[in-house]
Amino acid sequence: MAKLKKIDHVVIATEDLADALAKWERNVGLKEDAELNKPLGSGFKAARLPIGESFLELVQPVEEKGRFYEQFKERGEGLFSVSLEVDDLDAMVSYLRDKGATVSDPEPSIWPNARLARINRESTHGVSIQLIERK
Amino acid sequence: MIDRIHHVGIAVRDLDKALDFYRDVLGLHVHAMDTVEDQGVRAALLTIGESEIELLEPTSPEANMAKFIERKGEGLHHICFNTPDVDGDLEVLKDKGVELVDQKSRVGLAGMICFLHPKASRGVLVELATTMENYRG
Repeated sequence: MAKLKKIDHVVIATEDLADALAKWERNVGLKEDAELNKPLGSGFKAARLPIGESFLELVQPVEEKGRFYEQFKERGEGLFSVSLEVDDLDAMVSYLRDKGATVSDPEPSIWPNARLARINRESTHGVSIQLIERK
Repeated sequence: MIDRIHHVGIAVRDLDKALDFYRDVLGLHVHAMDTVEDQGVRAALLTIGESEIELLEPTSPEANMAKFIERKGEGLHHICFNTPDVDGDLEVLKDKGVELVDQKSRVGLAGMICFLHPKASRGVLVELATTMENYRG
């Protein structure tokens, strides 16, 4: 059976990436090591802050369109989703669907060499969970 | 200095129903279950890699966790980072004038803990924890 390995990353939504990065560095002690501008044609920019075997991904919408922007409008700033690393994404997606969960088809992640699928929040007690497989 | 994600805290209405998904479907191991009366939560800690997922159910309608769920619904509540020295970190944060919920560390599920004010990180509730094995109070 497919297995979960770790928390790959935690996504945090923000209105102001530069200010959020300054606060996370000064107040929590986490520093960015990579930034993406509108990856994969998305309407957002994202920064990565490594911590242990995981990272935080701070995301700011830069265009008023797209899946992230629509959810951001509703939910505002703060914790947005959790990404869990899985050893076999396709096997996990079909297993979860058999168990009655609603899961999106796998697609490329904005981070290189990774694919992800999203579990619907109704199946997870309100948490946006992504499953991610790294090559 | 923080060194890993200790856990991600999730507010749920019904812990047993949440365990049906996180333990029984996702297959995560529950390594502790506990009720913390003064915080008004019943909690389960599930291991994932070097971190945990913490499921938190309010023990009464007056509990802060119940008010959170009423306002925002079930879902992500806070993120906790592990540190070898929560008291030393708190002193540094106070010197810098960082907005805090707790001025002193206190006993929590993860060990000796404190919460920063969400203002300190643009809307994210951040907790710092030193496990009891590592705490030198």
